[in-house]
Amino acid sequence: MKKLNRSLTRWVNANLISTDQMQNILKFENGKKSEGRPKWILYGFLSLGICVICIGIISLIAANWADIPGIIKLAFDFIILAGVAFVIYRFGDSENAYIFDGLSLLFALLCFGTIGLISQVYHTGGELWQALAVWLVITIPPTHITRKKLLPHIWILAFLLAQVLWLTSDVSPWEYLSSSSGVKNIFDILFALSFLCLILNIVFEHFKTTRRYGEIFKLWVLLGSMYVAVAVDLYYSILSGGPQMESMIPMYAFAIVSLILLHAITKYSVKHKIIISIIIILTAVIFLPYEKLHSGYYYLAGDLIGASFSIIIFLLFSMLFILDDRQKLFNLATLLIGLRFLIIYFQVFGSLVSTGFGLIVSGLLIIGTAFLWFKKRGKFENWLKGKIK
Amino acid sequence: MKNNKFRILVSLLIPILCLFLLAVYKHIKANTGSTIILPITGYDPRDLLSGHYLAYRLDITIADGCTENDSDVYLCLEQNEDGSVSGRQIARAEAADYECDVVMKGRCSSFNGFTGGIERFYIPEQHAAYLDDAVRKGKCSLLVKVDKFCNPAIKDMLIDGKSWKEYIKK
Repeated sequence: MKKLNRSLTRWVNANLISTDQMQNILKFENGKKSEGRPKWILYGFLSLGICVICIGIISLIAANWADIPGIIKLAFDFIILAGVAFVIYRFGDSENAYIFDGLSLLFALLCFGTIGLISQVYHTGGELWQALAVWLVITIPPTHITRKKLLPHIWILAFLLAQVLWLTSDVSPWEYLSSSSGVKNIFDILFALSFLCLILNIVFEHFKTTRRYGEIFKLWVLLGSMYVAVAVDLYYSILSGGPQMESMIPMYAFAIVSLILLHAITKYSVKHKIIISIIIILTAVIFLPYEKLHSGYYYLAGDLIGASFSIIIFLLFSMLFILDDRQKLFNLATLLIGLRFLIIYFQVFGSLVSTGFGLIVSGLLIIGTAFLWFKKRGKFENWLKGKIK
Repeated sequence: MKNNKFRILVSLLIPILCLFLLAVYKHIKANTGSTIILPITGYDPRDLLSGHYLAYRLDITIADGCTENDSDVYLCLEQNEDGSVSGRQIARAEAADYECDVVMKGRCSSFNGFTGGIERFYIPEQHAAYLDDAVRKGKCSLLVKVDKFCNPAIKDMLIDGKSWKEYIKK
């Protein structure tokens, strides 16, 4: 608000707007602030409070009150669960989506606590991913009736966490693909999961009833792409061993399915489809020449391939953000491109950095990059807009 | 509006019903079938969701060993006079041909040996150290129920032959 005040005063002084206009703008912005923000603050605190209550209840369960028979503990737990369900039912007609969603979140987390209690009373030896899997299945209906996105966000986060825990567990089917086991496969598992998120994003966005889940998966697609760009870069630039091709089979399968779905069912523009297809194909083929390029005479090419890949991926994303008019994400993508260029310098002239001369050059380069970034960013954006819009 | 209320009611009842059925299934499993007392050895980690538990290995002497990775096996178990338990691998269809006290299903692995999925016993926080010590000294055994499908479920943990709750009170 202070920034807006300063800008408005400057515009009034430059005779760009009148004092009345300035007052009207301030009045409008103040009104918007009081309408929007407090509800988000309320929603945030409500969710935080409910999560803390649930952690407290789970801690009480975990403390294992041995003097109370298991059956009494379970009965008490089900009475609380039914009580919360009854309150949610009563709030079913309420206009206040925040309270309804807050209570639904409480109910869903209590269901998770109940799974823990059953496990404790009957001494079942299951793993966390199994408890999460049961929770994910039984909470599909209560998640679907919520009106905001908080519980769907938590559901999808739990879904991805369960996948990671399962695929890195002792009973992971990944062990049939890779000679490594457990968390050693995490790099390759996250590649496949990133593409799985893209498939789920496309499929869920296609149907009206599941569209909001699709939007949440879009966030995970973005995070997954960021991971893919950084991980490929690391594989080529730093790590001594590449991924096993057998371990990448799920990623290839998901990449093919996502390409088919992208062109078959999405309503994206042709430019969107072309850019996303290039990202998918590039990610899928980048490891094919790995063994050849990362050995012997070609070893040095690894650094170049890693850097080129991440820069191209960030560039393609910056194009997507321009198409969607997402200024902040565009800025982030181009900032990452600049950062990667800077890292190339450290990779190539690494030994110089340890000397005084190297430090001076490095400092100048940082200042020069920052200057170029602020000076040329707008021009780059306009050029890109002209090229792709 | 009425439809919406009905949708909410059904959506809330489904998880409660599922959890209730899960609890009933576990209760039936832990209270029916044949009984056997299995000696154990182990240590005490904790679980963020359900609290402290004792983790252990079932102390069963298996005639032909049990190192074939992750395969389902059926053990014909016999309780010896000194309290130890010995077993041998059999095919499930042949269970009637042997004089077994109990036939129990589990898995074999080169790392853990035989596991029956009952390698955790949840305990109260304040007694964790004491019970852990008892397990380490080899005083503990498990009272296990095995259903007709050969699935084991823990009924109680025994220390020197008595329920751990009685032992703690003493």
